Amino acid sequence: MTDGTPIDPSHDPHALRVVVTSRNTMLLATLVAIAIAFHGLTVSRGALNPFLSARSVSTVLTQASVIGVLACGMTFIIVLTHIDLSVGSALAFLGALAAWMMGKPASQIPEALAGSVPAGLGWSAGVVFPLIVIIGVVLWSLKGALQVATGMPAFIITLGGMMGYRGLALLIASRERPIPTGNLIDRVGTGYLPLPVGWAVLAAVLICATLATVFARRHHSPAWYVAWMPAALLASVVVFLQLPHKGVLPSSRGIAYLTALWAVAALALSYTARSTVFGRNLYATGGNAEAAMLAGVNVKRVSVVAFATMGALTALASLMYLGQQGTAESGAGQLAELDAIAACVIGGVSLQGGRGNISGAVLGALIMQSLTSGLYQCNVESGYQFIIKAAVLVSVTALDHLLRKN
Amino acid sequence: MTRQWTRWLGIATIGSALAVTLAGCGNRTNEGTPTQPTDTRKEASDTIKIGMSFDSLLVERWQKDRDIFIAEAGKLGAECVFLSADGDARKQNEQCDVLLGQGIDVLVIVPKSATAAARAVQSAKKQGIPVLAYDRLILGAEVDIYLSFDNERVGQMQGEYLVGKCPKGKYFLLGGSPDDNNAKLFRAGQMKAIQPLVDKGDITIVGDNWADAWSPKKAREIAENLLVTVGKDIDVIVASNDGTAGGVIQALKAQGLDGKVLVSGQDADLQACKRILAGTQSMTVYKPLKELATEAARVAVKLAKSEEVKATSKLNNGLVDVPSVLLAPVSLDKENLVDVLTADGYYTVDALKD
Repeated sequence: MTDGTPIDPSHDPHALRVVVTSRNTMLLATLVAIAIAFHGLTVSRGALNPFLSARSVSTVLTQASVIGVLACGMTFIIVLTHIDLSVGSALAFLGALAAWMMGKPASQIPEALAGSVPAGLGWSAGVVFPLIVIIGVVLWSLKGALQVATGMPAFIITLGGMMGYRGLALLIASRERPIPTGNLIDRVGTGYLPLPVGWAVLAAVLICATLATVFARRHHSPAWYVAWMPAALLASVVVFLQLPHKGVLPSSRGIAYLTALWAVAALALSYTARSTVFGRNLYATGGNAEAAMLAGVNVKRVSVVAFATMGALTALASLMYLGQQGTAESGAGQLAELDAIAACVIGGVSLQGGRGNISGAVLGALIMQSLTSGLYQCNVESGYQFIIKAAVLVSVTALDHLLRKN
Repeated sequence: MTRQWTRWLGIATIGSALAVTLAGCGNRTNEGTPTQPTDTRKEASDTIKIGMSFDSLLVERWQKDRDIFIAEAGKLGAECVFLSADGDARKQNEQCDVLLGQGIDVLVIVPKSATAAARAVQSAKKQGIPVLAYDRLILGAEVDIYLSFDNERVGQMQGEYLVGKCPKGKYFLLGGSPDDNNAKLFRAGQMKAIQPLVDKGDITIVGDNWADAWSPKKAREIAENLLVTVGKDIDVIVASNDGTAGGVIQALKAQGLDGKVLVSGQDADLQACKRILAGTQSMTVYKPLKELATEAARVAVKLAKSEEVKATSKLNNGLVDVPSVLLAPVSLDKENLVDVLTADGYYTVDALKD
């Protein structure tokens, strides 16, 4: 795997062994170990819903969504040996921008209130949602273009973005800007997929896995388990969350919109990375840009498109965060960029570029959030949380490096 | 061809970035920036210059503090230079140094960190500039005077209100930022009211935690995970301010428990007042900021003129006994909120009922 191509077990004669010893299996094992440990701890503390209950799993999946979406986009950026430090501040900036657009216009605010309620534009969430995504794509395309035009390190460009967006957020949301309750973004942040939709998703997953198996057979790469392992995992989580459970309200049963959006983003990016020309070009460019260029890959366009993707996902994450929090505040998203990078690194996305996949980043984000939520459920102060997360980050990565050396 | 378009995009980016920067420079000079730095104190003019360094303006109340303070100081003929550190303790010390370099006569600090701000006080002392700690005490430094509300009393009011409404039940304690000295005082006050009932066996504390930087997001996550572990089996969440209460109520709402669990608060933020009227938040503690900010402006001017200031008590900050002026807070709930706040001119009826 030194040539910079992603691990693709379906082309390996010893595919099953590769799958079993792959990075993702190791991550999954780590996640399961963490979950079982917390399950034991929460049961011993007499928690009503222990760590592996539907309530708790649903909470972890929901709380991991925003960072998870960022981590998916960050994977593309890191594969290209770049880094994006601006996404955390962008959560605050794009969220504030959206809240401003949706806020009541000055003309509708009673005069007596003018001083104490920040005025907005009064646009509907249905307009604001796509608009913010477009703004994200445009801003990040410009960043990507600036990078390829000047050859500047993306580190510097996005460090600029980090400071600039925070500044803009402070200007727009110098005081908290609540969003109208009950609108699209509020519902996305707090609601759950209707149960029938959840069952339809389950059916779709199973059908897709079956089709993938049939399709794979026809193409002489009989790696049925490559399709079935993630599908079975996904399906069991869906079933687990959709079934009625003790202590779970009917209104909070099933899959949160936030989780669903994260899953859609992850699947779309994973498909792009694995099965499209762009995906192949992305890994080729990240592995060795010069070789890719000689092979006819337009490496500059690959960079700009990767940044544009990051922009779209950052915008999505900012709207998810806004809905989740119900209020835009200028301090939102602090350190979110580093959480996203940490999720990628734990997930095996190499900072040297050319290697790492979306599923790894998803697992990385889940591991980080399981630690946070689990420690909260055990009532541990956040000081210890940082230390424990640091230990996991460093040890998982160190183990991976040692294993790869051998 | 494709090379061309990326290059043009790049040039366009640089161009627009420059244009925005230039436009920004042309439009306004930062209100906080001084015109001419002087290293010697007071030459020609008699105008008193007050340097103000606030932790952040994120929480609504601080903007009111600033505005009332500056207005009152203006009435007394003093000029204010204001800087906000946006919640960054290091930045705050840098800003204090900047202010001290501008020939201010007195430094007013709302510290982000009770201990880190000691550095700024030391720098001020080296130049012989008096320091007023505004609303939050600075620890381990020679602060000249401390103005605040009786913060332990604030916590006690929260505790008393909650045990009054729910003398038997399960409580969760959600403190504020662990590096804010006041957060500890609020907790101490809350426990004054709650502990006797815990000892009696009527109240069970199911857990406690602290929300870093008073972050509503942290508060929400803590509450979400609390509700995972205890389900509906919780009666009271003791939140120390309105921002964290907002995060808690967001988590309660998701489980259909908003309005069913008692949640305390503090600061009488507009959103919190609306929540109290809607019944999702139980109470808030109102600290008449007008009184505090007005008094602080008067005291600051007196300090600048080296006049004597009357303190009501002394608080030890680990190094010295700091002369302190502590004002009394007011407990607000659905019953008295509108009357008290409108009578004080803090909000209009329209603002609250909107």
